[in-house]
Amino acid sequence: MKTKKSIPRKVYLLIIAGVFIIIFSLLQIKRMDVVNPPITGDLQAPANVKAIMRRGCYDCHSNETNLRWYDKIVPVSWMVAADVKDGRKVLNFSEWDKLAPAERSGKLWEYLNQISTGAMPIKKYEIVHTSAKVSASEMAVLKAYLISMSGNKPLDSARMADRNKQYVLLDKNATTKQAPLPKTLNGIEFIPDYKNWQPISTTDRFDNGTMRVIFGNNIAITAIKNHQINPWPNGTIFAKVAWDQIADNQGNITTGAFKQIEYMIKDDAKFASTHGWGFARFKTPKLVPYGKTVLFANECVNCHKPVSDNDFVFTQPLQH
Amino acid sequence: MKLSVRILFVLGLITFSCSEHNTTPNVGQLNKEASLPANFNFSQMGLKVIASTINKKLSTMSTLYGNDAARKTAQLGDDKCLPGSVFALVTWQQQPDKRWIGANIPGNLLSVEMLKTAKDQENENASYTRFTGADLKIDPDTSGQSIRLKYILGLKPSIMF
Repeated sequence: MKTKKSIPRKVYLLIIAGVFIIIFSLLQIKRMDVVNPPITGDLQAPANVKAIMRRGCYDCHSNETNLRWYDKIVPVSWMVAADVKDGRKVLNFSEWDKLAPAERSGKLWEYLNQISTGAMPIKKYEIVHTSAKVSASEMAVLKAYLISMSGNKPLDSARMADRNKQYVLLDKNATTKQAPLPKTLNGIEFIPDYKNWQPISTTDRFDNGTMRVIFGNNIAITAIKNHQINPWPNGTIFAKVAWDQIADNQGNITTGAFKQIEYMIKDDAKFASTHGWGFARFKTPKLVPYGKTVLFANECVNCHKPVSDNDFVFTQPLQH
Repeated sequence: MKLSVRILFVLGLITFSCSEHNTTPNVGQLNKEASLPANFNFSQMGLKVIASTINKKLSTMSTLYGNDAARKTAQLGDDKCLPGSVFALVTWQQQPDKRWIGANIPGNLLSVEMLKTAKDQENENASYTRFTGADLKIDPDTSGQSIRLKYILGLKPSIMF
């Protein structure tokens, strides 16, 4: 014989549902609204290019974020607010005036590549906001626009003067005897010996008017020989040198001024926070370490994300 | 039971579709068409990079390699070749970089041009040999060799600090 009368199941369910609704409603108070800061200088581009960017990218990459009602419900709104914050930090078309011309074009090419590999728009966003998807024909429009913006002029006298200045520097041997060697904030020292390593590829970067040689140390070369390049073994080092392109009237291009050298150093333990790779960049003949804070490496990782399934390496090495 | 299985399935589907799912073109692959045949033993020659060039008209790209004497010759900049110099100019057809819109990378291997001077002689007796194609067969056509010799010796070294 039962002493207590059992509460019907339906009532239980109702109570649980009620509690959920109350929590859900209370959470809405903690809604984080996305505010739109003033536009300091919007990107200028042809109308058809601009239309694609506005529809696909401006919600997260401008100060003209336009949220739908479903973006404003907690907890979705928290995710949206975080995404917009991150998005604006990396790329903000409303504050385009804050970037130098070279940076602008670099950002646009990076952005085109992120779209083409599917890294952007981020999938969880695209599933809900299907209008953000950039079609193949729209990609072609963006690409044609960027190509029309780049271009080498033949016999560029400024570039030739830069190269000649550096030849004089080389003769003086002024920069090779730096002691101590320059070092990035994540602890990577400039490695002068890269010149004696084997090249694993070259690139003609017509997007930014540079050309590059990518060198690999012995561990990298052995890994290539053994076809063990995904992932690359610990101890692998790549060095990528970038020069200006200098074109003559016949379309022959030679290397101009040394722009920078970049390293990727594989060490699973030491560089665990950046997917096992230490990133470093030294700019100009003075080899100035790149990065204002140690977080600069996040920038590198971000750009390399489209090749995350290839151990974050863009270069497809060739064998000698 | 059935309901919970269904919920799990839906949740799984959402998680799967939310993950950043992209595939790098030729993931984990070497650039085979641009690689030199193993029997050419290029890496055993111990040559280092001297310069890199592009020809927009032909859509080719080249890398000039050399031993220490050749590097010095290139630095000196006159067309006298130091004794014992070994130069190798490797040329590829360009192909678009499938991993970066805005770049070209080496495609099919076109040729390797070797230039050597004897250990005790300057360039009066420099020998020139051209190997062509993916398998680097010796090119029997010897015309225009002096032009190529002059071109290779005239290339300025790329600036490396």
